Amino acid sequence: MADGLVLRRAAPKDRDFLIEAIIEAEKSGAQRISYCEIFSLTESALRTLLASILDEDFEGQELCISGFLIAEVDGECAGAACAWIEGESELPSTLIKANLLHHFLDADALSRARPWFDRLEALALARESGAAQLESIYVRPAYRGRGITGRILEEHLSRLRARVAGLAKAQIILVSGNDSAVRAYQKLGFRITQERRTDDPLLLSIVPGGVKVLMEKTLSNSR
Amino acid sequence: MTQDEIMTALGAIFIDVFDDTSIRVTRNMTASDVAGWDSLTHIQLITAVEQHFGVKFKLNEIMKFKNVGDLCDCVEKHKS
Repeated sequence: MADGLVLRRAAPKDRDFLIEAIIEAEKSGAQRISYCEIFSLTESALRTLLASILDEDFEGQELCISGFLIAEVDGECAGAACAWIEGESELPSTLIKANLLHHFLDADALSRARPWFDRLEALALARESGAAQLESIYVRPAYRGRGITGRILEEHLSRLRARVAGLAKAQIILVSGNDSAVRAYQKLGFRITQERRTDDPLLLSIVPGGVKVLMEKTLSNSR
Repeated sequence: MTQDEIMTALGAIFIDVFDDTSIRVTRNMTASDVAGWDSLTHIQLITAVEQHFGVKFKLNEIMKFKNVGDLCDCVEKHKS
């Protein structure tokens, strides 16, 4: 338990911290940021892109301010995570994100990304419609080891269950090489249910270890 | 431009983007009805439709495309 910890819904004023959270969660142990590699963007250009997308605040996917909860410790942003119910916004999260990328990226960046998309298919894991999704889970290094991740995720699930009757499952998709994260989610009741592996050298540059996993938690049996 | 003309043109675009000559588009068709309709093909599809018809959809418009019929209606609105 973290002393002095406050959990609150994110607001537009948190945008810069959320960009940090999205980028750091995306790195997940890799030296390169997948968005930058796939779309040939500098980190600065990625920050601008994420700011534009976050300003739109389209629900049902992970690049949405109002989908985030922020953990504050003594008034400072310590951690964040995004959550949504897959399919609740009618379009699947992948297509909502695709629409945002189509809108904000120029045609050249999109065409440069094509070889990546074809190869990323090998690591694709489908989100289940109707299941809670947890993404961009991040705690600043200085605040780690205090159980903040668990507090944020449990608060998200508690709020979603209060809103959606019969919510039965929560899912997290992550890079498996991120062992400390896998262990942390296992402690919270998640277990690995699917995995995708690749030995494609290009993909290994953004997915260390070449393994992505889907972790699930059955909410009806949750603590 | 009539709805039939737009649907015929969309049919050709779908066959090209999905590289599948067996696709027959209908107004009720959604992403879940077409194998391979993922984020990449979705971006390619919207881009191809915009280029073919010489239109640029607004973000709020493409977020409301729930099926091919919605896409067709939006093209018709832009071309009218």
